[in-house]
Amino acid sequence: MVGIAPGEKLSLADGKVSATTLPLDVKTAKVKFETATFGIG
Amino acid sequence: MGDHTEAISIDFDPDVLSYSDLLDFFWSAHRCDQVNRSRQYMNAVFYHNEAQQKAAEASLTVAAKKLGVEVAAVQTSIISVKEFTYAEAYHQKYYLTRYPEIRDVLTAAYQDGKSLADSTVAMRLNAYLGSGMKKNWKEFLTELPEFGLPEKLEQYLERLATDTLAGTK
Repeated sequence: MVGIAPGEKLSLADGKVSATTLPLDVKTAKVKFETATFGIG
Repeated sequence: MGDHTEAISIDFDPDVLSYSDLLDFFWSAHRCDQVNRSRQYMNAVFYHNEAQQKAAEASLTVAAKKLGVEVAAVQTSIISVKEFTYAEAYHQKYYLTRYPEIRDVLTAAYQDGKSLADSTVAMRLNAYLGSGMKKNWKEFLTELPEFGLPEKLEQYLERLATDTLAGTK
């Protein structure tokens, strides 16, 4: 199953993007991003 | 769920997309007088800073006026983020669960759930394979080499996209 493994402790968001293996992810991890959060019913 | 609400958290490049752009999209997909079924499924803008709070409140006023909704009838909340917890496995990158070839490569590349959830590659693949990106398979083929996926998987996805474009899938 893609995603968090059964029993894996869920993380709180820490403002850090942790995906840095694949080339595109390496590139986007360097972006100074902003975060937006929405509850969409 | 207690006092938690299901929410989507978007990390975005403000040089490319503004917070106002996201607010516009939010209001286009949701009515501000839509009744909340429960705390778990609450409609809300959770702001991260004062600038976002001001922008959200202003956009709500515009959205309500556009619909002719009175202030007293507004149901959407604008509240500060307290903490954000990643959702369970079955909520993450849902459309990728239908493609074990993709799933296996991504879970090998990112062995912890947070990294996988953070992955731009996983996010874009999930969007293209789901109902997002307006199913623009031509654009997908242009983007695909940039993901940096293993050759076999890239070839598989290229075939998937070209077959879909040709109407054979």
